[in-house]
Amino acid sequence: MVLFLYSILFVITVALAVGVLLNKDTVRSAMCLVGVMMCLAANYLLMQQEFVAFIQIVVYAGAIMVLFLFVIMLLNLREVEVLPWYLRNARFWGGVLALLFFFVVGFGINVFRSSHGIPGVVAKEQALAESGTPEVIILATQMMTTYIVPFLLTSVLLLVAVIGAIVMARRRDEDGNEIVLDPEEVDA
Amino acid sequence: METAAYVPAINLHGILPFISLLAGGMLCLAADAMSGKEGSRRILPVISFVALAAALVSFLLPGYPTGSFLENTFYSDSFSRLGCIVILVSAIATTLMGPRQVIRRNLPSGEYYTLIVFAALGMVLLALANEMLSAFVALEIMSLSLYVLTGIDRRSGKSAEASFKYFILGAFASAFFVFGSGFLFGSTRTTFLADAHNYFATRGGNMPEGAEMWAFIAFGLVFVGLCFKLSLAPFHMWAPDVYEGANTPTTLYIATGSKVAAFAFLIHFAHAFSSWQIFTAPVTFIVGLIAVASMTWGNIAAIVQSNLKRMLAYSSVAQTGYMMIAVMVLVALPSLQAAGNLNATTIANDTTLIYNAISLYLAGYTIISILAFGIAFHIGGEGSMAAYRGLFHRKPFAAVGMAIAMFSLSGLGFLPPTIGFIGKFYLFKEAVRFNMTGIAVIGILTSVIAAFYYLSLIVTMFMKAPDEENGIELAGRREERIAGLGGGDAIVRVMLATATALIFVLGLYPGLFTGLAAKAVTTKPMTTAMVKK
Repeated sequence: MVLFLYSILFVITVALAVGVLLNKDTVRSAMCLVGVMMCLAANYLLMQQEFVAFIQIVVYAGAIMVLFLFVIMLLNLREVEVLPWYLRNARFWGGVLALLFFFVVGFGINVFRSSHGIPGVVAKEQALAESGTPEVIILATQMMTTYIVPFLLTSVLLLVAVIGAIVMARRRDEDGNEIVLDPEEVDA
Repeated sequence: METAAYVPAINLHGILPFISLLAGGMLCLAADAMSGKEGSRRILPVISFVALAAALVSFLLPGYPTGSFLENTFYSDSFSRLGCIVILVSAIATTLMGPRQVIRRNLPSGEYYTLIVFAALGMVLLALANEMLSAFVALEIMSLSLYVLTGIDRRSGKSAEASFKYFILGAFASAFFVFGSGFLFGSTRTTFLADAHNYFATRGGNMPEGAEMWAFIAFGLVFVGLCFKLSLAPFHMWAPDVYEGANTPTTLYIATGSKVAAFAFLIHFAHAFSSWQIFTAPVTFIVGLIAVASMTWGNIAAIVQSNLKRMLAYSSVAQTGYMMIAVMVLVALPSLQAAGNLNATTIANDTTLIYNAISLYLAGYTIISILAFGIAFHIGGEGSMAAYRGLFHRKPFAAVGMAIAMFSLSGLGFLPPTIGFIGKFYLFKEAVRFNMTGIAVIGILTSVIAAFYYLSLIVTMFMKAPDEENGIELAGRREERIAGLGGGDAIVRVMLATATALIFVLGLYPGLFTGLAAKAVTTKPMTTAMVKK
C-alpha cells in the first residue's frame, strides 16, 4: 500500500518537476514548483517524518514560493521565447537521460527496500524505540549538539550570499556612476 | 524532558585560524562601511593580509592539534595542515595583487577583500573537514565567494559570462555532493567520516544487501562533485572560460586555493572508505582512468590555445591529473597491505611519504602558478598571446620569470632542480614504488607533450620580434594605469621575486616545506595505535 502511494507520488513529482522546466510561462513554472514541494512534503509524511513535512510546507511551499512569485511579478517576466528545433531535441535527449538516471537510482532503492523495508520508516521506528522522545526534540538536540559546527558555519555562508547578491545586483558603483559594460573590454 | 548541559570540547589553538579569518572578514566589512572609497582601498588590503598571515602563523606554530578536534568535525593531519598552509599562501598572493586590480578596474574594494578572506575561511574549513555537513557548508562558503569574485568586475562582459557559467555548473556539482552525502548517511547511518571508516571496518564485509550499492553511489556522487571543483578531465569544461573571464588574481585563487582545499577533503573522504575491502579495486581503476584522461586531454587541448589564461587552465587540468596518480596509490594501499606486500608499521610510513609527495606537488604548483599568473597580471592584456611576442626585448625580467615558471610547470627544469621537477619526480617515484609503472609512464609521456606548449611560449617571448602596434598600445595602457597606483606595483614585484626564489630553494631543499608539519606527524592509519599528547 505504502509502495503504491510512493509510486503515485513519484510520478506526480517527476511530472511537475518536468513542468517546471518545460513551461514557457514563469508563473506556471513557479506553480509547478509549489506542487513539487507539496509532493515532497507528502513523501516525508509517508516516512512518518511529520515535523519535516510540516516545515517543508510552511517554509518552501509557503514563504520561499511567495518570494519567487513576488520577484516574478515585480520583474514582469512573462515573455515567451521560441527555441530552434535542435535545442528542443537536445532537451528531449536530456530528459531521456534524466529519466534513465532516476530509474537507476530508483532501482537501487528498490533493491534495498525489498530486503529491508522502507528506509525512513525503519529509521523512525528505531529512533523512537531507542529514545522515546518526539522527533522535534531529537532534531533540535542534534542541531544544537552533534551538528552545532555546520549550524554555526551556515551563518557565514548566508553572510557571503548576501554580500554576493549585493555585488551582483548593484546598479551604481562607489562613485555613483551607472555600471555599464565596457565596450573596449570585449576584444581585449 | 531534562538533559544535561552540553559543553563541547574546544581546542582553542585548533580553531584559531577560523577565528582570525572570520574576524578578518568582518573587520573588512566594518572598515569599509566606516571609511570612504580611498580610505578603504588603503586599509582593507592591510586588514585582510594581517588576518590571512595570522591564520598562516597559527598553522605553523608547533602546538597545532593533530587528529580530531571540535567534536570530531575536523581532522588535522600532516597533509591537511600543509594544505592549509598552501591555501593561505595563495590567498595572501591574491590579496597582494588586490590593490592594483581594484584600481585597474575600479572594483568595490570592501566586497573584494572580504570575499577573499571568507573564501580562505571556506577553503581552510574544507581542507580540515571530516564530516559531510560541515564539508558541504565549507564548500559552499568557498564556492559562493569565488563565484562572486569571478564576476565582481561588473563592467566586463567576459567576467559576467564566466561567473554565470561557474555558478550554474558549480551549483550542479554541489547538488551531486549533497546527494552523495545523503546516500552515505543512508548506507552507514552517519555523516562523520571517522564513524563511516569504523562502519566499513567492522561491517564492510557483511553489509546489508543493497547498502553496498548505496555506499558506492555515495562515493561516486561526492567524487564527481569534487572532480568538478578540481577540474578533472570529464568535468573540466568550465575551467578555460572561467580562468579567462575572471580577473587574474581570482584566476590564481581558483586555480590554487580551491583545488588544494578540494584535494585535502577528497583524501579525507577516500580515507573513510579505505577500510572497505571491496572498495579498493574498482575505485583505484576509476581514479586511474580520470588521472589518465586529465593528463592526456589537458595537455593536448592546451597546445591549441591562443590565450595564456586558457592555456594555463588546460595545463592545470593536466597538473591535477598528475596529482591523481598519488591518490590512486593511496587508494590502493590497503589492498597491497591485505595482499601481504606491506606490514602495518610501514603503511603509516608509506602514507606519510605519499602525503608528502602530494603536498609538495600542490605547494610547487601553487608557487609556480603565483609566478605565472602574477606575471600575466603584471603585463596585463588579459592573457592574449600578442602581449608576449618578443616580451624579452621589452621586459627582460618578466620574460625570464615566465620562462622559469614554464620550465618548472613542464617539469623539465632539473638543472638546478626546480620544485616543479622535484614534485613530479616524487609523484612518479611513489607510483613506481608500488608497481604502478604504467601510469607513471603515461605521466612522463604526457609531460613530454606538455613541454611543447610550455616551450613554444618561451620561443614566442625570446625569439619573436615584438608586435609593435599591439605591444606599444599595451605598454601605453599599462603606464596609464600605473600612474595612479602608488606602492601596488612594487608589492607585486617583490611577490614575484619571492616566488621565483622559492621555486629554486624548495627544489633544492624540498624537506624545508614537508618539514613544516613534521613535528606533528600522525598519519591516519594509526588512529587506534597512538595518540600523541
